[in-house]
Amino acid sequence: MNQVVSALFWVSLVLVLTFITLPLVVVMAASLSPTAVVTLRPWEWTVQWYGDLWTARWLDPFMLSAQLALIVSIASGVLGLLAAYVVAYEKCPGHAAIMSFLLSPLAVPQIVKGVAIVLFLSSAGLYNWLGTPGLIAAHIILTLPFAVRMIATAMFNFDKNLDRAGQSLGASKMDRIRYLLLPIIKPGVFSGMTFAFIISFNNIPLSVFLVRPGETTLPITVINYIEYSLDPVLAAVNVASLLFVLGVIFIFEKIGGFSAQIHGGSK
Amino acid sequence: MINSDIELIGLSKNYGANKIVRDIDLDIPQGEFVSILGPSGCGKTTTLNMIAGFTAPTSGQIRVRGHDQAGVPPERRKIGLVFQNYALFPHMTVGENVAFGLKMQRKGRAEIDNQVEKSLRSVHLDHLKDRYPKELSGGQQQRTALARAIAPKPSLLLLDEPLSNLDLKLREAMRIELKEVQQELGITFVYVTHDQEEAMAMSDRVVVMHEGIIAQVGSPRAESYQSASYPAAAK
Repeated sequence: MNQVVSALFWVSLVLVLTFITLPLVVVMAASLSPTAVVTLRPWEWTVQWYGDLWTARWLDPFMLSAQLALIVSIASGVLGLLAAYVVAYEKCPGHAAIMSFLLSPLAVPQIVKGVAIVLFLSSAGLYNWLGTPGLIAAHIILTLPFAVRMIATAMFNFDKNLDRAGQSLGASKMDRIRYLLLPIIKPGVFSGMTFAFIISFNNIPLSVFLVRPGETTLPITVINYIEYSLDPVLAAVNVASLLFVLGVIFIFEKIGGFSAQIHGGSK
Repeated sequence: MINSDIELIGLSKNYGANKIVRDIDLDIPQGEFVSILGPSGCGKTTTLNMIAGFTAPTSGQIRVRGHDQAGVPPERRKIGLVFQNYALFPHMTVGENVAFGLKMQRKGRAEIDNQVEKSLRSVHLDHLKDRYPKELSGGQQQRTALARAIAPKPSLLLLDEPLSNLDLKLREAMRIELKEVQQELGITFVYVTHDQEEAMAMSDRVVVMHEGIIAQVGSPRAESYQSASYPAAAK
């Protein structure tokens, strides 16, 4: 009986993992496809499509997306930290209502947000905000709720007794924030920033309203390219972005140490 | 003349109509080990929080070494505190935890190292200086908390049920250790507990609190305690 259950467990585990990874495997295989039409012939392969990525056509959008995501994740981290501090640590009057308000953009579909931002910019006469400045602002609006949520959770979990212990040892408020609060919630801050980075880097629905010629993000470039051709370059772009995002997650994790938080340990 | 370390004068604390501490007076001389004994809800922790400065009294006065403490924030009272759940800083090693108070006083590196060494030695933890709190047993964590509190050399140490999370055998060993540290350093200890035996074993004087008032004060060797004339003390 036990063996049947255990076998079922392993079979379903393998099925789930296959389901998750199969698209990635297909994309990887496609990016090595020997012909311009995507084919699956694993015994013949080439890396020429990756070579095609080193052209302005792909590099410029990549650089814009990466810079955008970095700026957005830092801004969301800083703003999220300040908001979470007031709401979750100081527990200012009406903190529950403020928290709901900060999370409310999550309830608005991205397309609606995109239209709203474009309408706002044009009715306010801010046409030159279209392009990079608009992208930065829109992505911060999009990612801030995620950052606030992660950071506020870390602050809620901060043991107030540590603060009192610090106080009894003569630590001023600034000292306590610097030496106790910030180091302890750092994993939460960095996981919030990682989310912001990934969401911004992959975003299509908001960006599509705000890009303009010469200032186009990578996902939008991919979408535009698909309209005319479907060749292995796209698969190569996908694999390259996947590796890039994994690299970023790895670096953020090295600095912030948030996997310890996810797996339930301190330090 | 007795050199008073803490004086509580007509101290009261109300939360709304709820009178937690009612007009208590207490004089604790320098170097004494005083236990405040009572069941939960008797006002002993509130009294401790008022001395530490976390809770403002509704009325009355707290004097530490003759100075009125009204309006003095906890970080400037120079009162050491040992918590029931230890409240060790999880991201710092034992050594860094103990050094924290000295670092906040902006002491020099050499003095900090020296004092940390000394404090850890007095609680027999000098060999665990580089461990993190989560790598320690309950008793070791408690001793770290004690070392951290005594390192900045406060003249007064408040202890809030510090042994209640330890098992019986360790608790008995720690009683002796606490008493030794107190005598070695000559610091005034105010020890809050609900455990009568614990209070008796260590204290120079036991203050029994019940429903916000001081019901009884005396030496643990006095006849009255052995006969348990007061119901709260008998529990």
